[in-house]
Amino acid sequence: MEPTGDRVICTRGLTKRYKRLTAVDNLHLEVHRGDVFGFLGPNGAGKTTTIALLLGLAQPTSGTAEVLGHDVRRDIVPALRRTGAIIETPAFYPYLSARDNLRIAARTLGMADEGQIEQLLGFVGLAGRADDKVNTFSTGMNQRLGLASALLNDPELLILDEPTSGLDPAGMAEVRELIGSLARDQGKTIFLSSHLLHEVEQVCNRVAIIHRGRVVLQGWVDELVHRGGRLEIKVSNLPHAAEVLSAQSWVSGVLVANDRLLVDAPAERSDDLTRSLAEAGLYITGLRLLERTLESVFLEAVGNDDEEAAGND
Amino acid sequence: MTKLIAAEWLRFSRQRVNQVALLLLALAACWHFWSDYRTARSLDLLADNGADLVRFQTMPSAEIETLTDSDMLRWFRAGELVLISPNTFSLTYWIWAWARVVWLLLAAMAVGSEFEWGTLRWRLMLGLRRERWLLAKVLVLVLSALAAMILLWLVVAGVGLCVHRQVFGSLSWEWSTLEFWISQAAALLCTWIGFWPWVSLGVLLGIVGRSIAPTVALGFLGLLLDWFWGFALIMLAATQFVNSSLPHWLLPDGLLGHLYRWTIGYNVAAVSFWEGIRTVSEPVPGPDRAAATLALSVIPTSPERALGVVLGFTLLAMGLAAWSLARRDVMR
Repeated sequence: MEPTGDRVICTRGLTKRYKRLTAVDNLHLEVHRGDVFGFLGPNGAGKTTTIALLLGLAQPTSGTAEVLGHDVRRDIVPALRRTGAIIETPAFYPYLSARDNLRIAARTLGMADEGQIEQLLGFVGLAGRADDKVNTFSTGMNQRLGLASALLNDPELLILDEPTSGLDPAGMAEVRELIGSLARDQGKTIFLSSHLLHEVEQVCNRVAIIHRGRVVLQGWVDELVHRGGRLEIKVSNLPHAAEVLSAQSWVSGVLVANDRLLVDAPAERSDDLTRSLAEAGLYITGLRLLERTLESVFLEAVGNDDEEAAGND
Repeated sequence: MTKLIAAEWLRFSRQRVNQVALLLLALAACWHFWSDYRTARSLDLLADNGADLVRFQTMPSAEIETLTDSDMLRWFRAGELVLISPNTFSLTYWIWAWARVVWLLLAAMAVGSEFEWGTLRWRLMLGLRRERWLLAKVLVLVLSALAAMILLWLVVAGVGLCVHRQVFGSLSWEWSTLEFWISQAAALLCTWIGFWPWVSLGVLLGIVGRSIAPTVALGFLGLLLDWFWGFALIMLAATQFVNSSLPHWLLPDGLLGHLYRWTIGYNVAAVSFWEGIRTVSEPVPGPDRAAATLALSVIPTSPERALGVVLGFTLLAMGLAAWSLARRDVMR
């Protein structure tokens, strides 16, 4: 699959060092208009630092980053005016009500009409608590208020760092649905940082996996999940079948497991596989695609990176 | 910028600590009048509609020398009482001195809390430029000081007039002349300028400290240093009379005194007591009285120079604050 539009986020060699620690290391990222981009990584991988760099909250040590065509070092503010963002648990003035906090956000954005505040409070389910002080809110309610604040300027790009953190399962589902609808119905680009793999798999079309500050894998979710898929086949003569399939260029590995063969090959090659075996006089009695999940892709990518790091050490 | 100031004003005006600070200052002003009233009564200065109080407060110096010991004490205390003076601004000078201390701490807290709560990060994520955030904060702090001064002036004037009526039985408006109001406005301006360096210092400390506790601690440290230095100079100047062997650098005209001429408290006091712009009766106890205003008597300066130092310090602190904020990562 090719990118569907122009680049909304683009980083080249983006690096952030804190004395001895390299939090973000030579990061290359591309997010295109209309993408729901998942930014995955274990705790401490550099996700939040990357987002802070993209939002101009931290200065890169080296490399470049552009958001909506604006260089984050030189002039990020025009881009931020078209962006909504949440980092970690959103912070608000604790002694002010939800409505007053949004009023401050609206005035900060220079909005003339504050009428949208009521609509957004209803949208995120806080209409009934609009006049309560934020210091009485749960983490989930703070998260909802954060979403309202991020949507206040009707942004083209949403950068969300763990937006479902602190929400109950129903709330998480609501937010996932909301993210999906914002992308689907309103054409917004969404950059979603999360460590919840199933969440990313459900809503994102593209992902990057970051580990120790470096992108270890980046691509379309469909491709990553199906790339190098595994086929399980039942066939009469296992050793002969393994020999035949190993000779095929599109097969990357064959494993005999009990009474079946596990073949590492793309799912769309199943016809070729059947034909090759038939030509060798072998007939398949069963064939099943063993689908990979984003979790297995993630663990593989992070695990490989750990092995490489151990090898380098 | 107007909307930004409106946002900052909303934040500032709703914060309980700011409301409490203003209330305490107003109560202190009222208490001051009440305390003066009780003192005047205990010294029997209010008999015959305060005839003695008026007599002592307007007494020519030649007559003072003829007073008996007991009347001398009454004359001395009468000079300190503010009951009959319509010059409410100068007689509440000590409140402004404390108010400057309060505003230094409010400024430090206003900035430190934004780092501590993570609200600065939130505001920056909304596309707010750092220097505009800083400017809005400083403007609201100094404008709130002006609003507080006017509000307190009204409270003080109201209470003062009530006490005045109580003492003298009637209310005279003879003092309300154009010259009086010009003098009050000039006094207001001079006193307001005195807030600027303290507020800018508070903002700078907030950016350096990045949370409430260390910022407030740094603010107190700065204040104590300022006061202690003034006290030390006065004490050393007094000691000089009995011990002439003190090293010159410790004396008001030595190195310690020359360096003190660059401190905020001293220069703010000098601007506040600008001769010709405002007429100040004997200042009543307060932090500046305790140090800087007394130091003025041993280390004279010109008000123009003091104004230059006050404005220079304000700009320097703001410049440093803006420079530090621009370079800083705001990760929380």
